Amino acid sequence: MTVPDAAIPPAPSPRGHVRADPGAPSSAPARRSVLDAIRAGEHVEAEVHRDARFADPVLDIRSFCLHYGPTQALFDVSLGAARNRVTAIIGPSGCGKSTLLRSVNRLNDLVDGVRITGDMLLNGSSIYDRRTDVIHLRKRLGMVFQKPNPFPMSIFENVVYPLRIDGERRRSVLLGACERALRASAIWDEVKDRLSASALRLSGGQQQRLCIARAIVADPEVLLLDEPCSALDPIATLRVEELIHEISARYTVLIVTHNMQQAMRVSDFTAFMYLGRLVEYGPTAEIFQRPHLPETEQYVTGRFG
Amino acid sequence: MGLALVLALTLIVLLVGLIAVRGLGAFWPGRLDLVTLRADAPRDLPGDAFFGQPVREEAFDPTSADEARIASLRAAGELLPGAVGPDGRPRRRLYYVANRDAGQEPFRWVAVMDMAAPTLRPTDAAWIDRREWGPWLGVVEALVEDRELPAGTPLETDAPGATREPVTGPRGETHVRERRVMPLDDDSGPGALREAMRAAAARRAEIRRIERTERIPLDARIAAWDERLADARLRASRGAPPRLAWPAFAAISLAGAAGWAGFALFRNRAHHAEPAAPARTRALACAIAGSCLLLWAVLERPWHAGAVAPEDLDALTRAHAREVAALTDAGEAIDLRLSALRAADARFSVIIREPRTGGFAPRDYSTRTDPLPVSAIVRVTHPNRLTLLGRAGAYLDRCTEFLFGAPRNANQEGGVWGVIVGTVTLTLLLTVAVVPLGVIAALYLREYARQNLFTSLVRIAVNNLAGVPSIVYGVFGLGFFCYTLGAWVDSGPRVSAPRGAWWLMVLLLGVVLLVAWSLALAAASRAEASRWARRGALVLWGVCAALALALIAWNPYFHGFFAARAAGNQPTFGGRGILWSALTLALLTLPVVIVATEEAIAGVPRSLRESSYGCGASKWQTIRRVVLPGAMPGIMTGAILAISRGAGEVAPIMFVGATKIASKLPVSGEFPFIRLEAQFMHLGFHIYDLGFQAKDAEAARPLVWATTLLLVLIVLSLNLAAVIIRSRLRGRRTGAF
Repeated sequence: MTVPDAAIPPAPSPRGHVRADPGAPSSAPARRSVLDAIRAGEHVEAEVHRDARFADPVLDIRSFCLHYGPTQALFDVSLGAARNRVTAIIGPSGCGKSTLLRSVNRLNDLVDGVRITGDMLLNGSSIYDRRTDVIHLRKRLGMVFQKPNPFPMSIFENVVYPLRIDGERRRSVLLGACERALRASAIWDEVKDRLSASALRLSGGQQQRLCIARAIVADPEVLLLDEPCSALDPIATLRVEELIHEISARYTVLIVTHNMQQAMRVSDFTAFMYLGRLVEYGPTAEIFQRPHLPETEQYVTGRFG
Repeated sequence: MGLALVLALTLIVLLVGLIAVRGLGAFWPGRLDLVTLRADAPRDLPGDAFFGQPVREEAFDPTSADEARIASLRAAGELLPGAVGPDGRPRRRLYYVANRDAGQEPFRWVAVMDMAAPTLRPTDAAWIDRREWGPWLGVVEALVEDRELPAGTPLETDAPGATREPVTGPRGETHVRERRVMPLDDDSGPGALREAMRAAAARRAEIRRIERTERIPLDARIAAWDERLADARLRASRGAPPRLAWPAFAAISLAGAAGWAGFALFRNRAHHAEPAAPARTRALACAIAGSCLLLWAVLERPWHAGAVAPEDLDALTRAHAREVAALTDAGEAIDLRLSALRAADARFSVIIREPRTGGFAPRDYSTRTDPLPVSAIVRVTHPNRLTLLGRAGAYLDRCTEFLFGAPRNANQEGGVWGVIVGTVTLTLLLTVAVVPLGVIAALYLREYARQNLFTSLVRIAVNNLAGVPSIVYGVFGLGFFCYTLGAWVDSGPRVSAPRGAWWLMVLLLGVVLLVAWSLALAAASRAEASRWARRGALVLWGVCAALALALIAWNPYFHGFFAARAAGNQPTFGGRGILWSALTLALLTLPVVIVATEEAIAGVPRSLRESSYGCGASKWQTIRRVVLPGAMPGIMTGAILAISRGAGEVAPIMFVGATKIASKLPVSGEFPFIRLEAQFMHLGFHIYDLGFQAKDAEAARPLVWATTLLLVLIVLSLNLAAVIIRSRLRGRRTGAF
């Protein structure tokens, strides 16, 4: 399924609608930069590659806008995340990538004064419908945050927390799920002898992998990672990246990252955002090697941002 | 700055050290001096010699007469060593001389130069603790045993030390009393006295047992019959049976349950984060609670307001007369046994010689006719005879009596067990009241309420509450808890609404509830128009609460739980009591708990909450499993600080329940184990009472120190517990241990 707006060639708008020309990134020196247009507050169509228009995305974001009180943080974002693929969102600070991620499991509901328009679909069911049960929705998604944040409980209790709040009490079930999740997040061997020790005694990298185990223990449909490695040292980062690579065989992953190398290493698709708008979205290889827009190329090669 | 710290520390150490030394030393048995005065010394009481426990010695400024006396004594070579200090000023000593009922002040200054000889420490000087009138210092000389012989017995006897004389009893009957005086010399004396005291203690225990297990329950049964009759009379006079009482009760509980369910639903819908399912459970729970309440109401009928027919009243009156007569007879039989025991007590007494007058003590110390009954003696110590070990034994004995004994001599002597129990019970009740209330209030303020002007006002109000002088709480507690709420519990509303008006109000409450509920639902379902709907609903919920309160306060079908007693001018909950004291103190310490809990909750990082929400936890699950455990060290610290403040507070409870002497403990071994309406004794109030209200403040001073030490120990150990719990919990939280 394609993003509807991107499927139809848009008509020029009186407000100075800029349409980037995908064929000739460098052939029009007089052309106004897309980023300038965005900075000027103009509407810019996202450049979505043909390979990134999925017929059946697990997560389908449709014309999503979000306002924090009077300020708008997301402008008409539309993208889909492919099943069992890793989708990375990159962009300079404040471009709304984390906001977008937090909107997927409606964590932004907790912030006063948030208004949204547009919708998101998770496996075909609306996330922002009024009848949607938010608790149930969040149980279908797993989320890992920038800083490792295990609860002040034992390792075991941390991992099985999502099951506990579902009312699961059978110890055998909890133990099985805990072992599966810890094995999947490649930390089982390190903690199997001290499951009852406090999770706060683990190292930062271990804590983050524990958080990933907690996020996948209830078999989520999409795993949301919000800069999961930004607070870790290079070795721990490497472990977590390997882990992301491994679990992408079974889970759909949406990852926000500041680190372009990381996006390149772990993701299958990459979205580039700027000031709340999606600029370009496509397969990672294309985004990094043959981006359609010169601005994307400048950003991924480190010439701005 | 360092100096300030040192100063503060020094003051604290000084405070605790002084209290500890004075408190611990209060029961050490001091020596007794025999002081003999010179014949020419000025005196305000007749007598040349007395026993006294030296308290302190100091120099004083001599008058010219004193100087002349010193000069003449020195010239005669009769000036005692130590009569004049190295600085040339004469010295004097303060003696504790006790023997209050001999007409003297218990403390006496004596100039050393007035003494005829250096003081002696005779080994037979005894310190006699009595049940009344304070201690007596003297020499126990003889044990007296009286026997009553029938009238007509010859007055001559050949038994050693025995005399017989005819006496007239209280009812005019005459008989012969044989009095046998057994001198207590050093060999046989203490043994015989000890034996007599042991027998007296056994009789005393027996008297207490009979009173506790037979006499008092009997009185209670008579009182219960009286109450039943009074209650029936009251109900008979009230007339028409209030048939609508239980529907009224049902209506209120159902309305309450429905209101709560609606409120829960409204909160859930208003905050998108909550699903409908917990709301349904909550509504269900409320409905169940409501029906349980209803069932209880039908089974228990707490209003108990059925009318009494005149013939029933007559039957009850007859039954009452019959039962009370039977019980009174049984009571007389018990009283006979008691008076026999008391008569046996009166047979044994001791003769105590007092050196001052050479007379005998204590009741009429000039003759030997009215000696001190053995049963009036608590213990006899011979301080000058004791070895160090014996002294320590006497010290421990007194400490034990202090901790576990009952008070005597208007609290100036004896123990503080009742005081300790009262304080601990009060503190426990206070904890039960203040901690849940404070934590829930803080949770609501921090987690559920929108942060706006209203919550700021509430916070300011809470903080101001902490600054209100505690005496104000006492006045409030007396006015509100005792005289308003207590009176309502006792005898129902003073002015009740007319029945028609009351039912109209019930109807109104139902309508307002319905409107509020639908408004709340509307607010939850439509995001655009929600603001005014929400405010309207909030106002209406407030109106509902006010209406429900009014319905309860003016319920014409409720006549109180203890109406009969209240009508007899015997308030149950309508007077001062431990429950009202605990609630008053809870109010006083609430701000501490709220502020501490709020800070602890705010200290739980946002990221933890978000990751809990991210796991699919509801708000309440997040609070219960992540926020509360994380905030627990802070909450515990605040709670314990509040409790230790409450435990040491005196001013409010002077108004609402503390008393000088409570005849019964606030806890008992029988259901319901705690007497919420009882007045109680409290350490803080006890200190005030001993220090300022005692007949003899100087003599009570050791006890003041000991009681102060006890209070300080309790408060300090509570604070220590706070520190330990905080560090343990914090350690668990950071994974340090």
